[in-house]
Amino acid sequence: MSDDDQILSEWIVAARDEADQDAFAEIVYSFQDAVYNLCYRMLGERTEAEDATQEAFIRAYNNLDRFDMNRKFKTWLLSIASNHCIDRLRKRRLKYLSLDEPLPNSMELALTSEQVTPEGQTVRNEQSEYIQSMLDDLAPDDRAGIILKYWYDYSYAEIAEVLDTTESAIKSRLFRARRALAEMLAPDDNDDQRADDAINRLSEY
Amino acid sequence: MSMDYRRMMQEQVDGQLDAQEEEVLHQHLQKDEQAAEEHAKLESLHHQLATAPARRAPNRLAATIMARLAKTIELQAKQEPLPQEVEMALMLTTSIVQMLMMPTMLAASYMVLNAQYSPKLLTRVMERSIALIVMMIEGLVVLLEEVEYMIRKDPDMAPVAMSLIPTALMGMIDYLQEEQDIMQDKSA
Repeated sequence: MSDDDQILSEWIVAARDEADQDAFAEIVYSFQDAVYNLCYRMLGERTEAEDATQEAFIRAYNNLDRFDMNRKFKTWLLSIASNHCIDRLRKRRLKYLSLDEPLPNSMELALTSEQVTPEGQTVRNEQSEYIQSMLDDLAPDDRAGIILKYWYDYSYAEIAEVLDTTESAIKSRLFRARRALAEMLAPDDNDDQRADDAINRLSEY
Repeated sequence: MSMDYRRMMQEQVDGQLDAQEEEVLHQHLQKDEQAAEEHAKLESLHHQLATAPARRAPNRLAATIMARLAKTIELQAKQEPLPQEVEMALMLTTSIVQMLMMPTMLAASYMVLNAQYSPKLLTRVMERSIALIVMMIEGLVVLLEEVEYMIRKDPDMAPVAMSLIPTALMGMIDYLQEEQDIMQDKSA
């Protein structure tokens, strides 16, 4: 067990057994980026991603006694977050079906230049938004698989653990999702060109 | 194109093919233009996904989470029923207090009887007795709330909480004693 793991399990035990909120705050600081990125990639929208991140951490705190200390904490935490996001996406779909509200994605695309962005950052953001708009078209389960594979570098087995399914199910889910995404790359030449440009410019840095 | 090649292309992107399978796929891509195009697209997608940046959490997010958590915990503490043994200990405590109150009440009635010869004194004793009863009930409520709070925070505090009860009773008896002294002074 590495030192980091040792410290982490001390935090977990303190938060679980002594309701030590400071210890849990350390956990939040350590994993907030990972959980937020997952929620953002799943939901494609900042405000909702923040809300989902908060909810995921609160659920984790409330269920700490169910966490098996032999498992990897990050895997467990991301599993709570992905399940929550998948639920949200399902509810969102129901809501859109019934209320016919506009999707927030187009708005988000127009508003995301919120931070000071040096030129390289702009290219990265542009590419990232393009990817995000494609992710938004995937089914929630497929989206979760792709995100865990590419942003968390998880193996098939690890993704299966997070999403509580089998390795072969994850494999076919990933392959199906990637084929759908690859097909999305094609139809619009401009988009394709833009992505290529972004990659070319990126490689210069 | 057969499903097999499609699966191989996917596995190749994930680095799951051995050298022999790589060769088979390579051969096929050379022959089949459509497959080669599909493969190129897949590789391009893989590259774009692999280099997509991760989003960082907004600065205030951790603080917001901790604030929301504190609020949630507070709410849960209010709603959560007490553990059964604590509930039973509280009931036992209440019964003990009620039993201990009996002599105090008896003493109060005795004082009322003794004060009968003087209407002025009687009024005073009645007032004091009622004040005493009110004090006992209110004290009891406060005491129980305190005990509940202490036990919720730390179950080991239960014995300390129990020891508060005789102390509170002693206070009430002292109060009665004072009253008795006043009466004796008056009759003397």
